[in-house]
This record gives sequence, structure tokens and C-alpha cells, in this order.
Amino acid sequence: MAVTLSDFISWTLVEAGAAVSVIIVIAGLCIRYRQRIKWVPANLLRDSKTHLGVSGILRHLLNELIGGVVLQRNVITDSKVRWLTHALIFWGFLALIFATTWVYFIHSEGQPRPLTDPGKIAGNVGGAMVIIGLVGMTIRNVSLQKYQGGRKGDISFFIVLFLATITGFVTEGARFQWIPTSEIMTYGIYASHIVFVALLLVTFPFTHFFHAVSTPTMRFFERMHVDLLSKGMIKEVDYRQTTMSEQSAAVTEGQSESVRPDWLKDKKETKS
Amino acid sequence: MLIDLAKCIGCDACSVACKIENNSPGNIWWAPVIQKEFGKYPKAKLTFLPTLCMHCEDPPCMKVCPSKAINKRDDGIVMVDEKKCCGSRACLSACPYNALHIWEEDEPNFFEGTITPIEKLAEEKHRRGAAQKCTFCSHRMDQATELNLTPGVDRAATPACVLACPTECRIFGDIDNPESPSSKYFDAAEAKGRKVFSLRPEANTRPKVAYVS
Repeated sequence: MAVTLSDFISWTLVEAGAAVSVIIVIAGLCIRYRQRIKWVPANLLRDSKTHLGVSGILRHLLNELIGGVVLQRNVITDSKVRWLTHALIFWGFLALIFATTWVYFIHSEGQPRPLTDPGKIAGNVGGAMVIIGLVGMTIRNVSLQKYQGGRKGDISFFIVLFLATITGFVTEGARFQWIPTSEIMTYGIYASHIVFVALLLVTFPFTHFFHAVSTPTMRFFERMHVDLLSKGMIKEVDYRQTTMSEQSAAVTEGQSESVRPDWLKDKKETKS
Repeated sequence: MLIDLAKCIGCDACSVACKIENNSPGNIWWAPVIQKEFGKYPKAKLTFLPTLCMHCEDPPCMKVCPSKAINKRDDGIVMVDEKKCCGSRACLSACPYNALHIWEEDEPNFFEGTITPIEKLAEEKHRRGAAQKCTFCSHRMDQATELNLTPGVDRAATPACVLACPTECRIFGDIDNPESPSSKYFDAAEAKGRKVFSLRPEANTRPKVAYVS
């Protein structure tokens, strides 16, 4: 059964929705990153450029992107099972991104493609990997006391990813009529799949999904920091320690204004 | 916690007491004293800055931790669950105070081929590859709740670094309780017009450790 987005929603609306989603994601990323960058030592990038050079910075960036992100090296060191579930979800997700891109650029007419189509293979294998990973992670989280409880952002990301993958498989089943469904039901399942995928992307900067970009970024900064320290390229023990010492000395010497912490401001207000 | 910088003599007793109390491994110091020279002779000056985890109200380490191994207790103490930590190192970059440390998998023992009793304790208490940091001696705070002790007053309910300081430059207690040592110290410092400040306010983490200069 040929089921396409344009059957129940115009392409203009689809494109407009995609554009709005991208704007939301970029704005969200900017907001979240603006906060993160404040924590990174101000002179780290400058000193990295001076001592390691652009090639050194790029080497660390590539090491993180290829070794840390793509190959998932040294990402999770505490448990092999935990590493495997994470890697399955990640690699499965990469395969799903490939499948979606393939569908968008190569086969946009919406006709069901054979199961041997590269996009189909990537989608099915990737989807299976994501589901196996998510099930493994759920079993682990439920069975191990230390993982119980979580924040709303984490759980919502988990649930939406699971639903997006499951509805993808159900849509395929309905399209190939492996699952007996009416035309209306098939459209409904497909629409729900699209909604979950869109939700996953739009909420990306605001849920646990954000760690996919924030963790590699922080690891990249830490790599440069450790490299500078280990090679003795920076004189001070640590940027942050230096910043704190200088700040403290400046306040003591009266060269800088002292900023009182909030909890002491409250105390003063209470007293007065 | 309040730290009076005018009293600190840089003896490192706090750092050592913390190490003994919490068995932090090898070269990892949860409460180091930063020494820094300023100026040039004859106006050279050596400053001491005792540090530790600031137990921020808005902790960046907790926000960036991908495995949610960092949590804040009801009493405000920020804790790392070493068992849950996946060793991603994101928290190390995020902390503006350099308070988090990773015990490297390949960090050698002090003596090759043997393990000292203190290293054995570290192996028992901590996990290699995981992040670790000051806990404000949370086990002592738990004891305070169990035995109805007052933190900062009763020794069994006071962090080891506070107890070890020979000049009593670290003052610990509930700032909202007007009878607590920290509250009294703050009032006295304020009466004398001394400056009370927090480090790296630009990071906007609202640290729970303040300095008196």
C-alpha cells in the first residue's frame, strides 16, 4: 500500500514544519550551548591555538568525533552491557538517519520499496538495533536499583524514541499488509510515526537527547586541556585554579568587587 | 561553608585530613589549597586559597552528566554515584572549580608491583575510571541526622577538613540557624566590614562555599 505524507498533508506544510523544527532546534542548541560555554575556561581555546596549533585542535576534534562518537571508544567504561546497549541505540540511530536521508533524496515518490533496497535494509537493521538497545537498557534500568528513578527529560526522550521506532515497524507492516489494517488505520499509524519522529527532533535540545552533542563537546575541551597540561605547555596547574586564585587575590586587594553568594544575600535581607 | 582567607596559612592539613577521611586515591586531592605568587620582589606575595567542591545550588556537573550519576541530596550536598558514572569526563570540563577528578584506569600505584594499605582502602572505596569529588563528608552529615547532632558544632557531624584546620579558617554549619558557627562568623565578619564573596560568580552556579577576606 502506497502511503505518503502528501496524501494527508500538503508538501508545503511538511516543508514549513521541517523549517520551523530546524529553527527550534538551532535556537534550543544556541541557548543550551551559551550556558555550557560559560563553564569552559576562557583562555583554553586561545592557548590551545597557540600551543597545539589549528592542526592539534583538529586532531582532538577528529579523535573525539571518530573515536568517541562514531566508534564509541572510551564512552562508557563501567560496564560492557551498558556500553553495548548504548552503542546499539547510537549505531541504530545512525542507520535510521541514513535510511531517512535515502528515502528523502532517492525515493521521494512514496511507493513501497523492496526489502532489499539499501534504505530499507538500513532502516530495518537500524530500527532493530535501537529496539534491542532500548529493551536492554530498560531491563537494566528496572532491574538495577542504582538506575531507578530518572528525570522527566530522560524518560520522555526514551519513550518517544521507542514509540517512533515501533510505529516505524508497524507502518512498514501495514504497508506490506503483513499486519491486516484498513487504509485509514495505515494512515493513522504512519501519521503517528511522523509525529513521534518530529517530536523527537523538536525536543532534541531540551531532553536527554542533548547529551549526543553536549557530551562530545565537553570531552573535546577536556582532551585539549589534558593535552596542554601533560605536555607542560601551560605553566599553571589548572586554568580554573588560576582564575580562582586571581579572583580571590583581586577581591582581597580591593581591586575587584566582591560578589556575595545568594544564600548570604538572603540572610542579610532577612536580618534587615 | 565559610572560609576565612586571612586565617589560612597553607599548611594543607585540610587536604590531608580529607584524603585520610575519604581515601581519595593517588594524586587526587578533593580539597586542595591553591598556592599562588603575586607581584615581584620586594612586593611579592604568596596567597593560599583552600578549595573543595562548592556544592552549587545549580551544579553544571549534574547538568552535563550523561549517565545522571551526579545528584543533589535534600540537604544540598552534590554527590557523584561512582557506580553509575560511565567515565565520560563531561563533568570535568563543566565544573568551573576543578572539583571533579577521574581516577585513571592506568594510574600506577606508588610502589610498582605492590599496593600500600592506604591504596587498598582507595581501591575498596572508589572505582577506577569514575569521577569523584568532595562530599562535604556526607557520611558525617548522615550521622548528624541519625544521632541528632549539630553539623559544625559536634565533631562527629563536621567535615574532616574543618576539624583538621589548625587556624579554624573553615567554618561549617547551617547559615539559616542564627546559632550555628557559620552564621555567627558571618555576622561578626559583616560587623567588621569584611568582604564575603563566592568564587567565579560569572559561572552563575550559586556555590554554597563562601570566602571571607
